[in-house]
Amino acid sequence: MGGTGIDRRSFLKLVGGATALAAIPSAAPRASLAKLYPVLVPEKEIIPGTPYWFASTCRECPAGCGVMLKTRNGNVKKVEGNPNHPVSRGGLCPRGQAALQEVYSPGRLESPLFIGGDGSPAPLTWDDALAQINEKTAPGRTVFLSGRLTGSRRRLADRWLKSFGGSGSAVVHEPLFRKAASIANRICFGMEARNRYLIGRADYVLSFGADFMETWESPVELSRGYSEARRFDGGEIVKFVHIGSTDTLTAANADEEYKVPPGSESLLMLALARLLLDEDGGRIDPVEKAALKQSLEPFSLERASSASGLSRELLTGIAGQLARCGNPLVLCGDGLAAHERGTESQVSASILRFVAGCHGKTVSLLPRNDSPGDFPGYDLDGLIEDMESGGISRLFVYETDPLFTYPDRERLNAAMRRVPLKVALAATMNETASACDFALPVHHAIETWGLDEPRPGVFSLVQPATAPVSGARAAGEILLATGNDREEPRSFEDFIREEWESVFRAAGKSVSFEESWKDVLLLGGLWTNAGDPPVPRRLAGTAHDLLRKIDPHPSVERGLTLVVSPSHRFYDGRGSNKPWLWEMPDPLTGVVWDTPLRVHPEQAAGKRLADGDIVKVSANGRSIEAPVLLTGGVHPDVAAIDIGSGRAGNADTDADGTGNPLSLLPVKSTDPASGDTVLCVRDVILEKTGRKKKLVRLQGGYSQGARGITQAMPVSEAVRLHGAGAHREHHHEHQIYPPHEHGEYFWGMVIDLDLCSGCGACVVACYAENNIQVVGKEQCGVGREMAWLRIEQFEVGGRKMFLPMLCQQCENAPCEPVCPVYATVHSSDGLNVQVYNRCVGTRYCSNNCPYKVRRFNYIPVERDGLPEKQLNPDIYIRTKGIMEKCTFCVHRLRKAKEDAKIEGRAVRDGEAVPACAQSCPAGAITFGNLNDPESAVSKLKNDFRGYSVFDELNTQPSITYLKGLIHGS
Amino acid sequence: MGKSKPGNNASGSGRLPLIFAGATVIWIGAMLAAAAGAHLWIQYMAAEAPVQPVRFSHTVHVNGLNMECLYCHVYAETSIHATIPEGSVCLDCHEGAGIEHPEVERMLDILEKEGSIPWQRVYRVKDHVYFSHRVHTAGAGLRCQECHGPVEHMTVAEMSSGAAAVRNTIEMGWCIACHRRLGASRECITCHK
Repeated sequence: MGGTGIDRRSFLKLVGGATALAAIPSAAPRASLAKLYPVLVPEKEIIPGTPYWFASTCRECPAGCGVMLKTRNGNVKKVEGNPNHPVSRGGLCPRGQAALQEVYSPGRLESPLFIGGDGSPAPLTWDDALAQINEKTAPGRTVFLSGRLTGSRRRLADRWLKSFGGSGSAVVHEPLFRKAASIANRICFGMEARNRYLIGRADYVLSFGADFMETWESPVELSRGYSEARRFDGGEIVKFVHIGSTDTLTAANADEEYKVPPGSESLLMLALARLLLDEDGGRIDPVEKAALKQSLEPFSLERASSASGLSRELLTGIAGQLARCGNPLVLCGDGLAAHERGTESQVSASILRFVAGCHGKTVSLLPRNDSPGDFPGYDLDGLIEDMESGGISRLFVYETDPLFTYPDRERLNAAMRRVPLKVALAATMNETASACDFALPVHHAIETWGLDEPRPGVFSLVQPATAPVSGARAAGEILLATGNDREEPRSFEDFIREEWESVFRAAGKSVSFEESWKDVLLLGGLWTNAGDPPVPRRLAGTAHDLLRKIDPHPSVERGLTLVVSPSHRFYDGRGSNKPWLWEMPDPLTGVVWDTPLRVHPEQAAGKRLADGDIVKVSANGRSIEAPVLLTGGVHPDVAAIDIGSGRAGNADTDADGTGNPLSLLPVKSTDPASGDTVLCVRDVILEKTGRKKKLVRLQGGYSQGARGITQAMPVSEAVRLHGAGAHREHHHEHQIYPPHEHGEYFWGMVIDLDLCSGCGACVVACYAENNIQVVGKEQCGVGREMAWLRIEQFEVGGRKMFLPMLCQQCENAPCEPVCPVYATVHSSDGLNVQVYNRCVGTRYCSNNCPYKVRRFNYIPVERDGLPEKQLNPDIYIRTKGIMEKCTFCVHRLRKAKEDAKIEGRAVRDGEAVPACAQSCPAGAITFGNLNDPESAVSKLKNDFRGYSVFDELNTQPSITYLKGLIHGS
Repeated sequence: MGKSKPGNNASGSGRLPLIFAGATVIWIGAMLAAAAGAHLWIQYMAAEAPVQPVRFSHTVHVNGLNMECLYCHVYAETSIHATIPEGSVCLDCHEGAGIEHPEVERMLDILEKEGSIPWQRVYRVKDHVYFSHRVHTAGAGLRCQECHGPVEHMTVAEMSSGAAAVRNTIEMGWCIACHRRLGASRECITCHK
């Protein structure tokens, strides 16, 4: 039965598991869609012990990336990016990969709960719960409060609302997916449209606080696009200038980065637009130009310069570059513009894009397909007023947690108490669910069916990859069972099938439903051409009106502004129940298991603050406590803290005590024009409490001295060398041992440091693939973290650069000769393998490793804490006293080799890749067979940018790094 | 001290019971050890051919009825697991055939009561070992008997001689002997995960 070490019982379950998997419809009727079959692999052909992949859509943020879910014996094991999907194109961010941990989370709701007045939950059966909900009727409106819904879920919510006689759509509370940019498009061009940024075509990117590599808009799509524009092939590459107020990963990846106070970006953008017009670089027609010139008259360079603190020369230079580049792109994100005048900023950005000629080249306007209706409409503030007046009789909450994300929780809580019936549809317990009357467990996205439409024309499949883990039901099924039209029986299966049928009809598919459905199951969706987006030629009068309202002399406040930043690890807090995301170091600060308040050293010096000092942060009459971390990455007048702490049900226990920073935001929390949540608060007071907290940062130091770990070269030199046909010179010293002989395969890896953004997707992928133990803050603090792959951060030539450091699979491996028991040996494929059952734990190998990539199990593995169903059975669970390390996911290579052997061929290039290379949103990691001169990795290995870390030690690593590229100023 | 010597001599005849007692103790010890050894041996032997809920006879099915191994162990050529058949496979024939046989009756009885037959595993590899059936069958073209022994002559499945160690785990030496003989990979990472 293979080496899975399963006992008889689980063996029988395993054989049964094959049935359970194939029979998602029959064995698990709650997730079933029997009518939607045939499936790709008929039940009879499901082979136990063989991995199967299901295409689906990620719901960890509203971007809607396509994912592939790996299942084995009926259990979902891993989430990877779907290469066929137009949004993610194969990559996936750390949050998407960690979605798996929610499926098997011990916090999953098992059964419907009735939550009494004292907050104590009592379990109910589904029949009782639904009957009690349906019995409660009271006069008043019915409201559906949710996160951003598209596709089938939006139509289902609308239908449900209509059954109660309502005409409106769901109230959307999605604090990080913002509407201001589409409002701005209506103001500027009379079109209610979202911007789609075609960053891959850009040759110059100017970003105002848009953190597109982390959380803004569609991070995986934009990261991949940016890496396309950045990939060096002999010519010029995109230049990226970032203007922001906080330290973000995106800012750190910029070629040039400038810090400005939040609120100054409108003046900057309008002054740049005026400069462009003055320089005759404006790409608009003359009539329009004259009108705009007049409207932009008050926005002078001097004013922008004094408000932002950036020099006039610098701004003139930026305007010049915008004018010279053929395909410039201007981004305006939440990092700067998430304040009460956010829409103004987005209008300024739209005008600058218009003047610079971005539309039709690097930006296209897409009609909105999410919650239209009485837009900008009805936001949470309006809903609270209605609840307070007693006008709401029924409130359903789904995929949003306003009691965590809304600043004035007391008011919201009190308003909710006035609603006679409150029902939360949630997979795990959250703040809002515990304040409702009923909490109904719903399927995780990995357990349910659906149709998402992340942008027009992209119809993305949501399909279950596992039988439901808990006693939950599909949210759609609950809506169908609680609507006012429930007397007409209609199943969720029918609903989803009809949804897809209408998509196929609209796409003009002439084949049968089953045929089209098979394609959708295979590809993960249906992509249609939504038609050429309109290119705006004229600026609407409303834009000129708004320009007149913008104050060109904003009062300069010198108080401290707190920016509550969208978290790369936890997004809007929804990731904070996943241990992988806490154990993954914050890519910028390197902190694990905490969300410190980042303060500029100048600001800290005045208050005598040092790293780890706990401060009381007060604003708007409320306060939280948080540990301080000093960083030059934030503007001196700005302090920043990530969302994530202070949430009930957090995976983190060590960060307890850090409050929820969202609670400090202004009570009137939205930008009036768009309804967007404001994410910054002015005049914040920091007070030292005198207590300290240990912050654990996994990188010891940020200076690489003269070691040349991370290297870079100017773009101009790269262009010259490429033109001269240069190649890498390999360094081979005389050695006393004969070189290793390789068989058919010699696995190697090339990592392009110019493309790596340090996002950490590879780190989480490695945890998921290799059953790596999460050890917690205390163990991390004494250097016992278990990550096989870490990201190192060094500054080279004025630019922050990130280097993924993993086992280098040295040909002259220093670890091998020192092992007294031959537990670490060289394989014929060029791998430096670790034989776990042979290891006796001397740790000599780790002492002798110059790259420090070996990890020792100091503490016993808590098997009880590991959800057995989530573990990868191809990897041994290492126990206390064993050394472990990366082996290029040797089990994935083994599988590819076996498949190839049985089919009588060689492994194809790209067929076998380690989890890290697969996950990389930027496509920075290339993996393959170095013995095949035609493989991508062989060609890149000899690139003139290639180098090995610690080449002088003659370890002959199998990993080649390509030097980063630096734009000359 | 000197005085005590005669006294000891005087009790010389008392040594005999002491020796006798000692011998008894040794005798009892030896008997216990033998019993324990025998017990272990019985366990060891039993481990080679675990008692199955139904005395399924491989020889009747393979030799007598000419059935292929793959008829029941469906996935031996396509998966890492060969798999033990589900009850439905038995019912393919035994809904009609041989139902008067007491063991078939017992099998049908168990199936009816429990839904599946709690077969005992005969072969097992350790947690840290990766073993794939399909690589050995479809890949290397080995016959099942080359590892599993003459199963077609076995009444109740037992471990192939040489493969067995205590508690039904396969020993590495046995694998390596064959890998050496056939020129298969003997690298650690081929089998150790």
